[in-house]
Amino acid sequence: MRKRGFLTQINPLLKIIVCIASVGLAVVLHDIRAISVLAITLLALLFICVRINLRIFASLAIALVVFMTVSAWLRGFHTSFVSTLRLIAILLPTPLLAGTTSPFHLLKAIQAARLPSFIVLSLMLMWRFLPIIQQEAQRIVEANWLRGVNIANQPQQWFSGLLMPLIFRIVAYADDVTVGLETRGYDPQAGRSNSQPLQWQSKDTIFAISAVAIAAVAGYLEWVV
Amino acid sequence: MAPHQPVLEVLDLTYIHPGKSWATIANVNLSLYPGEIVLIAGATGSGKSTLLNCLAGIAPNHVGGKLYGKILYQGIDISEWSVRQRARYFCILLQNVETQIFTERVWEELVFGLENWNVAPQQIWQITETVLEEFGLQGQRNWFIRQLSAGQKQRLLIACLLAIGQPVMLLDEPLAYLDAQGVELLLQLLKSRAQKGQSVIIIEHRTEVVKKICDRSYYFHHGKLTEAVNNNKIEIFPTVSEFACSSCHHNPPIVLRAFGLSWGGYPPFPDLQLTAGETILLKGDNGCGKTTLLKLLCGLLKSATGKLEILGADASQKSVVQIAKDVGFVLQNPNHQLFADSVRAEIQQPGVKKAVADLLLEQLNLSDRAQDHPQALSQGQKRRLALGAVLARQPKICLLDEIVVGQDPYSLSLMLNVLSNFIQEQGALILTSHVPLPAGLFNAKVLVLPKVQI
Repeated sequence: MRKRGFLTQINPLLKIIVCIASVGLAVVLHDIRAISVLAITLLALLFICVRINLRIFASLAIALVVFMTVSAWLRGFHTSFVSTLRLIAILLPTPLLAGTTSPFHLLKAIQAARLPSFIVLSLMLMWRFLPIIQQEAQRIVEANWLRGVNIANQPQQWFSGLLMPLIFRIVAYADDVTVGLETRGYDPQAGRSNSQPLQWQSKDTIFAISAVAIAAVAGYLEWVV
Repeated sequence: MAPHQPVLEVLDLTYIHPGKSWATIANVNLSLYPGEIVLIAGATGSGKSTLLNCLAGIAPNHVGGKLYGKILYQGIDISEWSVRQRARYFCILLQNVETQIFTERVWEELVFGLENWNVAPQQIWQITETVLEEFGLQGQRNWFIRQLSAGQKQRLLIACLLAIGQPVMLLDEPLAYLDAQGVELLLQLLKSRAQKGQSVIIIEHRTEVVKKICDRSYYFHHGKLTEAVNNNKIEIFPTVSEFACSSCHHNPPIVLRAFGLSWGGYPPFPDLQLTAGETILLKGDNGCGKTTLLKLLCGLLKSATGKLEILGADASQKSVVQIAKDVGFVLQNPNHQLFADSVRAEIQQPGVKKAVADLLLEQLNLSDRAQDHPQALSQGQKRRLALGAVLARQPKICLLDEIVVGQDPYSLSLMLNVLSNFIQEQGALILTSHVPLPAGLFNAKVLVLPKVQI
């Protein structure tokens, strides 16, 4: 869920570029201090800018601890710690981008980037789909509750009671949403007007400089010190 | 007098759904002239939405199947046109509004549609402001769309679609979730648009309302479209079997009590007391919190204040699963409630006897569809199935959220007869409905929720 914070107001195209660069950097860094700088910055941004579902966050934290324990047992503590931080740095940019960019602003960014039409349509549908998947899963769980079935306590019903209906709903929605887009006149190949063209603001400059500075610190720790 | 050249002409249109050997609609002929409003009515599953899908290009382009015959727009055969190409000339409103909404906020949705049609940026803001004002959405301008009620979403989508001003409007149940004020507003708008030359095909079950503005009415019966001369084929209210309320003569037990419930930004909900065999009809404008109140009563939402008692026990802290043993809830959108792989499996859940399932299938006229997938049913049939699936568990209290939407008189009578049996067996009902129900239905007590101040 989006908070109306600093990151929400940043140019979406700039955010996409920074996210891609951040993932790239996470892949090449090996120094524990360098990768810590990146992971801690992303975690801080996540806490500040995105409204977090504590349940999901706790589950992911537990999964990371399990991952770290297993990899520490197999490859030693140092490697395990670096791998965990790298995983955090690779995974976090996506929820950060999704949590601070509305589909409307994403479309503006895509328009500005002049991406090929098939990518534009795929991204539009994907962005529309992420909340739908979550919403549909929640609805299925609630429908089960209303029938007196608590699916969380019955793992044997996860496949038939949750997964199968969810897959069916998603496939059905894929068709419906494509038709819906066409009825609303959306065509990635046709010209679209832009009532709010992306504009570079001072906030974007601050964000870009901060991002470069953090990357520079990480690079310095990795390659110079 | 109508001009000679029809804006839209349908010639001998026949459509066969994929995997079927018989035609869903057969030899349909229809002409729509500029400035005309044409009503199409008919039973659920009779082919109304299929015709609209054919006109919009959804069938067969997206759903497959075979289409025979011709669709002409201003004399040009548009059979090969995509949905998007047709949408340039046809304003297409589908039954499930959620599939036509794409952004997060109310104003963004309006702007999204206008940008898609390449409207000049300086005009976009002007049109957006006018439309928000016209549709009474100015107060919700910056709201997240997920905060809107079903009726408000429908109003928003209609606003988005009418903002473009295409020559032809194809509207599938546009009044479904609208409150009385919304219905009146839309009818006036359609009338004024028709006077300016736009043409409208409107599919509706609320024929008594639409008849006031339409020029001609058609009736679908088993895939055949026939003109309703003097509208005599369009019935208004169904016949419900003689209602005898057993609890009216005794001292029925109280099954539900709610005091001082509140949630979110809604004003505190009125106190409720429901006895066995009793019916409460919740009324109120779109967005006043009817669905929210039902969700509080079944435990899907937890009230910030007050107390909820079910069958004499405090249910305020009980989970939905615990409450569901006594309370059934039929949701507004049946698609959110049907997940089994066949109609029968949907009703014959674990713990439900085959005889009970068979009886409900028969009473709801779904026996011949028992082996079909629930998503293969029409919207009206899905509603009947969702009701059957809830009643099969034999709850003491049943909550019904706008289940009358999309029901033809016959289908509605099936549902009301099943509910009549439920009440006679000491079941209690709380229902919401924008659609006027037969006078004195179940001797329902009417509770009007106050309007939410923005």
